[in-house]
Amino acid sequence: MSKKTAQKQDQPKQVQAKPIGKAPLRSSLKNMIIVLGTICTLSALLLSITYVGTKDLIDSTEKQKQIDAIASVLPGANNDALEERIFIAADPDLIVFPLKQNGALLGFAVQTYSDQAYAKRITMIVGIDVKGALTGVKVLSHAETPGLGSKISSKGFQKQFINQETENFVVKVKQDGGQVDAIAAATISSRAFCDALQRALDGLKRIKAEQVEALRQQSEVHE
Amino acid sequence: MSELTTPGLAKKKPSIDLLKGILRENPVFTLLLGMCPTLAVTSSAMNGLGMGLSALVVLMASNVTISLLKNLIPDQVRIPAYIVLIASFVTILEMLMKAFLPDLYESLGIFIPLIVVNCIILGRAEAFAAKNTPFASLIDGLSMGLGFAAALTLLGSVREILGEGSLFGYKFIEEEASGILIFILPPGAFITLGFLIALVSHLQKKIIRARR
Repeated sequence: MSKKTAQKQDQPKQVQAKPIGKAPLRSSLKNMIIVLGTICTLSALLLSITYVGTKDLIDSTEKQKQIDAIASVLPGANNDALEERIFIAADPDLIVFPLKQNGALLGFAVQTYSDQAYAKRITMIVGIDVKGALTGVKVLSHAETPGLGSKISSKGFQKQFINQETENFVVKVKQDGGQVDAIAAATISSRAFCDALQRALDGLKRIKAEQVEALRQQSEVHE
Repeated sequence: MSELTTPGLAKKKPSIDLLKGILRENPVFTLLLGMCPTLAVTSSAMNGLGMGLSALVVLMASNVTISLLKNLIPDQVRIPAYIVLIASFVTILEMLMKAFLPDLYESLGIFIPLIVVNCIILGRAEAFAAKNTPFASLIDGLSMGLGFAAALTLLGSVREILGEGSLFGYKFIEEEASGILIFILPPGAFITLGFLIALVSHLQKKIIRARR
């Protein structure tokens, strides 16, 4: 499309100069190319104007949504968590946001996911404080069955995770030998939820290990 | 019923008939057009209303533009030309919605691009806007769009009330209790639509009888 429209960019005048009669323009090859080309060019122009006009706003609303989600799982932080986020090299979809209040570490928010859900991927954000207790979970997106699997977003299901010590909490549904009460008739969704949560905890552990390693190396250099 | 005779009727008296789309020629209940979004998005009243209003905006914009350009577009390329115009309007709407109504965008998500292939829009472009004045086309778009929005909102409300015990997100049964689940699942859409079509058809017959 773009090639054709580029060639015809200087044509719109010709089209408008034609008298606007009762009958539509004759379907000659020239007419068809000119008209369709003009319409495509103008549409493309209109689209690019709208795109440029809304891009910043779309970006900022998406950023705000992430900030709100982080604040909802572990409130009280006042650092720029998005700026300080840490990616885990082995898994680019797993993101850790360190949360600080006036410089002191409050805990972490971890954006995590699971592909073992009933429908599409589940993404969620998990809050864990410095002591290793879960402070909150927020499901960002899912496509589970409404009324069944969609209950992973409900308080009723999520409250069993709040304040759990991650150290000795087996994040598995009871059928699999864990401590989590699965949602009735939605075991698969519950499992996926646990899978995502476990991934977040593993990711955080890895980050901590990496940081300890980095600190050790730093101190070695200092010595 | 009266279906595609609209353009002919409108030519006789360029009737600025706002009500025709709402009951007599309702796109969903009478013409049975645009069934895909109708059945897929109406799991809640809010979704139905959002989808209905989005289609309304696109329908009005495309109707007016196509009516203005009807003499400039050669007959053989009219369908591609209409589709390009409609697709542009839908994409613009999608970007605006993403920027200004992110919550609604999230719940309608993939259904917004599908407005492009909604047969109501192309149907009205072909059957009405291509043969009538821009103003009449604007009113036609408004009327049909309102009918579509009203139908989707009604369908969404019924499904949400029965399936979830809430309306526009306001729950009137116990928080943890669930409604008749099947109504927010796909089969519920067909069941509800069937009953609503029967109801509307009954009402229409009643009106016709009353006129005689």
